[in-house]
Amino acid sequence: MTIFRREMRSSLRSVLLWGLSISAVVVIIMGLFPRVERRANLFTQMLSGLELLTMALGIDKLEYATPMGFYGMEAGNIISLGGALFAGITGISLLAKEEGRHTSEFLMSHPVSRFWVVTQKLMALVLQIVLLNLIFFGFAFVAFSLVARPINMQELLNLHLAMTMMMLQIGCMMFGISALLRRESPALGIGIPLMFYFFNVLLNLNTELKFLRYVTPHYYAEAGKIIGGSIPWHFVQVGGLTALVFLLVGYIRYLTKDLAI
Amino acid sequence: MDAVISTDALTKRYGRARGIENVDLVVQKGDIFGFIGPNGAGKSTLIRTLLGLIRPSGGSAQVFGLDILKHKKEILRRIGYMPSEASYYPRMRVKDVLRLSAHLRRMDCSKEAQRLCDWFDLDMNRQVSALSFGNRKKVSIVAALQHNPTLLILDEPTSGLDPLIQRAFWDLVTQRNNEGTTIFLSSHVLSEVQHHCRHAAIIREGRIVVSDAVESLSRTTARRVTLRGVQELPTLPPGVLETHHSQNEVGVLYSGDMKALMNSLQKVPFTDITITEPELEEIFFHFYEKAGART
Repeated sequence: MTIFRREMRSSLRSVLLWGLSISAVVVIIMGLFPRVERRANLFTQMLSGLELLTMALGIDKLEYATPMGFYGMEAGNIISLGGALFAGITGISLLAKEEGRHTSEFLMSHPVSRFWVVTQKLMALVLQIVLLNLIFFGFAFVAFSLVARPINMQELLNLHLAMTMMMLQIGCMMFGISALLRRESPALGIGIPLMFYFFNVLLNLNTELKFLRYVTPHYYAEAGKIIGGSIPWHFVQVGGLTALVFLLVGYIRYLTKDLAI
Repeated sequence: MDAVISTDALTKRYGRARGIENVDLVVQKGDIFGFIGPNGAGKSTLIRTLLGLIRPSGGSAQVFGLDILKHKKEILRRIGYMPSEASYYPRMRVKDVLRLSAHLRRMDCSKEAQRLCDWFDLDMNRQVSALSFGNRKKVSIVAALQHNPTLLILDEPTSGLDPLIQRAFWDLVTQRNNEGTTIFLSSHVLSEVQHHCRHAAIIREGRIVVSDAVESLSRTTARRVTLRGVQELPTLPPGVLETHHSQNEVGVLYSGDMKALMNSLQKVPFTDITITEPELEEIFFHFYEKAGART
């Protein structure tokens, strides 16, 4: 587990930085809730004029004046987008950075199988995403304690579970793509998760683009569906299968490729 | 003797580009084998293929009698590899790199690592990113040696090392070889191959031109004949491989009948003559040019 430990040690600071900075924004935004609650009518009226925007972000079905609705609307979007970017950037770099930084010659001239290298790096990716989401989940309690309201634990759990699965799917897909690359590509790591996010925006605006439900993992992690509803498990399964296919392709490619040195 | 490395028509192509072509090579146990060729001849390609970093396009290779594709992990466990230019992970100290290398082998090599760092006067607490090229090279030497491998593969090991470190390096390699370690090294420094290796192969454009004992390569029938006090190349019997002129001096690499040479030289008004065995460098160029003329 040397490679796993090394990856975790070198990425821990990054996980903490992403987790704490996004959580800080979430906590600050939740701190605004009491004011929103006091002027609930005004706020609802204001948002009703922004129907297209609320639809696009999938928050039109949320009760903004409730703590959970407000959390889903503001925090859900920030965590979803921020977490997806973290998963994308981390996933795309884990394998490709060895070749891009010319360390693959050092690593692979040791008695470690490529399968085990890929597996340990994948384990590090999964743990990093899980740790990041534990930070998000932990700070959700801090945020709710600020507004001094009881938490709907089931809804909060479901929302964070779905967002974690979405980030895992994106991370695994990027990891699979990473095996095809010869150097790191932050542009892909940022671009593809952003594309998925905007696919979901398009999907919310135009229901004729139904096929995008199977493409973007943001669809099943949307707060508007989960709060007051449930996780659309069918799409989670499709997303899981997609991630597996990307991983399989990544494994096959990495096990047989000539390493760029 | 047992073969530690043996290749059979080993070929590696990068698309249409040439890597190595039909390489047949045998390195015996306990040998110090030099693999000579200029940059781009295919030395590193052969080494990386043997290490499983790249897959061969054809042929086969065995290390310790094991197929390089099927038993890569087992082979690498017994190999110490020093690349021509080593890159390490950022924010690591020398001791971190050496510990990581040992952990990847599931070994504790701390004592030997310390001994080798002392040998090369290498500070284990320095950041590798702050090290000079030569010092980074020392790190890769220690990483290659600390687990006491039975086969050392060294890709241009002395390039970038100052003469004192080169001497320390060769002392260490010779010591390891005396203890039974087989050494396979690539180099384009012919003198070090001549001085330190027992066998050598010359590679040109991906193909092995010649592979033999260094002594046999040097013990060619060819002789370097230098005539002083002569302005022009005299008429000589067949067997002249190479000539060079300089002011008041003519030199030839001659591999024909010595008696015939002596007879023809009687008519030449030289003031001084030396007949010596050629250096490996001359033999290298001879083989290189011969192979070049064939292609």
